[in-house]
Amino acid sequence: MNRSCATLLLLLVTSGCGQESAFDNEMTGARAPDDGIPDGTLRIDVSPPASDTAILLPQSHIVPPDNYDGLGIDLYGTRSVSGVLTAQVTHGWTLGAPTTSEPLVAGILGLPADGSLGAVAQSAEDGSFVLSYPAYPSTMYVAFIPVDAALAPLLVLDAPTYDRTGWDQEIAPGIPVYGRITGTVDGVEASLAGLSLRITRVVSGQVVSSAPFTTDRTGWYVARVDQLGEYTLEVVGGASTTDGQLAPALSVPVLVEALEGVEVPIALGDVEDASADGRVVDIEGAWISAAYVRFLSKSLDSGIGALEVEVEPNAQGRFIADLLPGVYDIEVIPRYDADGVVASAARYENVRVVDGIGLGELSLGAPTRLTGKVLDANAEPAADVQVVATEVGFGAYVYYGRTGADGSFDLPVADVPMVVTLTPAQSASGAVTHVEVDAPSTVTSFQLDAGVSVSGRIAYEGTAIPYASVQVYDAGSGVLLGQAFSDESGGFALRVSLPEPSHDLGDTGADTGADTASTDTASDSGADSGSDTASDTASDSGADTAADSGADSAADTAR
Amino acid sequence: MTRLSWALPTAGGLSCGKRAPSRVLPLWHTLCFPVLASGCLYLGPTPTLENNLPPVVKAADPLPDQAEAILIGPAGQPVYVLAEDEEDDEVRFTWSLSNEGIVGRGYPVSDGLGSQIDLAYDPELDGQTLRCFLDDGENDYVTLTWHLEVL
Repeated sequence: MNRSCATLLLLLVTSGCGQESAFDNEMTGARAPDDGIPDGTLRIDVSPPASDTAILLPQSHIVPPDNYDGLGIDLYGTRSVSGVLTAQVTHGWTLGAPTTSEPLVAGILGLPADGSLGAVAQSAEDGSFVLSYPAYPSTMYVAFIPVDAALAPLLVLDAPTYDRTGWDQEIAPGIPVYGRITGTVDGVEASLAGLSLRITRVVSGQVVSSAPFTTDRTGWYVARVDQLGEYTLEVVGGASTTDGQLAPALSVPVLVEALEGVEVPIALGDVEDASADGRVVDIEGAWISAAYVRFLSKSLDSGIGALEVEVEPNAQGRFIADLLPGVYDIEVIPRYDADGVVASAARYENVRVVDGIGLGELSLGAPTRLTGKVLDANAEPAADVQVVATEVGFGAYVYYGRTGADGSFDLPVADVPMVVTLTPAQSASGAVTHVEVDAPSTVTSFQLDAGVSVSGRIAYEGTAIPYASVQVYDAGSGVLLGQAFSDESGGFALRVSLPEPSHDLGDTGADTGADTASTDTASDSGADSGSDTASDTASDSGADTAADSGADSAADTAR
Repeated sequence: MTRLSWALPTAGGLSCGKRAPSRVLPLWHTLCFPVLASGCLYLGPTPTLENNLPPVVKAADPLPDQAEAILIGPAGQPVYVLAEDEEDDEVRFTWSLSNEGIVGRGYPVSDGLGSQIDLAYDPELDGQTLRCFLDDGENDYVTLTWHLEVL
């Protein structure tokens, strides 16, 4: 293959000059330095409300450390590039096989180099496309993701262009990555047909994935990449193949070193099915059909990959799941109930699944209440604080309420681990605070962090933009610190807790909240007593039921 | 189960509705004094019937009720609605997906004046319709829709 017509071209989408602001703290929107993002750098994502009069796209603005008040955020306008996308489609697998130029249907991503919000589009059947993007002054990569990954490679471009129309892009055939996927059934090697895969690469710290492609009836797949280098081949597990065979999810690193391509065979080991059945009930033993049962493998007997399967019970609460033998955590999740929390999700841990195992009755848990007080940064009762509790995993359901005049709150919630976000109505009373809670029933109080003030005005060409979503992120870690909406004059104000410099942000976020005595009390008591009680109860009842019945069944079978 | 997380509309296209007429009657009553054997002389003011007003959508993103679908890319897609009620009734938001029914009340934003959901990059969302149902508890409601397409 002639590298002079290689698929990697130099195209950079640029947008023109910076904008001025009447505010003291002028936003530059400059990209982050290449040697890392300084601690305290914020990324503010602004999503203006949709409008018929001006198309303003969601966009990011980078705020350097230590000066977060009075920000003048002048939104970037919108620019578009358009053209026709074609591909040199090769007819055959060998290097030098004949090609024809054909219009290409592909997803198109605009990926700013500094991690700012990008753009997305899709080409039409005739290959025509329009990609609209915020007019950032910084570099933006453009990725073309063919819908048919075997037809043309995922292509990522990073070079300047000043053409705004007539951008005709042809994708060369690329380099084939191919192989056969097999498994073992009854000790015999079997081809796995209809198995779904993706190939990914990392671009500017972001993972870009090809469209999914599948193995043919003999278990062979072929995909194409645009250049030599490192990729990851992802087997999308859990999906049945065309002959009904399950396969685990698996990531395989691939190094493409030659233009002729690389063969990557994958052996998935023992893929003989194991089914599990049971019944979902509530705490009173009544059958429950409005639920999900999710199986998350912890280890598969084959030792290869992982599997996640979700099933729904029938009207009598009964379910059957096709799995691979191994050890699983099982989550039983009630469907969302608009009338309130009538049952809680439950988890059964370390359940051994062998073929034909009966899990018995899997009971939903009883709901509980998240009750306590919120104190402000001065340890005074904080009124009118929004309390939002989000389940960690399970159904990710959200429960919310507001504190009363005495700072108290009382929410019915599921009895599962949660992240509680406290948002004061008056930013002066404290920062948006996030607290991890293992057991909601053991919470007694929360205290808001003092935090730092972030404020400013959202405008476009001098006109205030009301009702825009303003999300404040730590630019280094990408963690959301707080959210507000601009008022009718475009102004916004909130307080956020900054992560500690050079700490792991996940620990810092929780530590910031838990440093105060009241949240230590809540989280400590939760860790010591509440979570133990809840998880032990669930795992004891569920795991014993499942394991006992499973072990008995297995032992009986063996005998 | 599709997993959702937690991150000036056009006048036309909004679907407003009433389940039943809402009436406010004054507390005083008309008095009927029999004057003739066949009728009454009504005294007192004629009762005034006031219809409750539906919630007013202040802002939404993306623009709802469009023929063109929202294209969801690898970064996902947040959707938000801000609304208020002219009678200061509390506005309740309920989100649903065409294939899954009601999926929740979303994440409260803007001091409870709005609701937001974050659509994941999930193939199961492709072809579905997302709806946000706003009601004020007084039998008046507004429905916003978005058609979804996953890249």
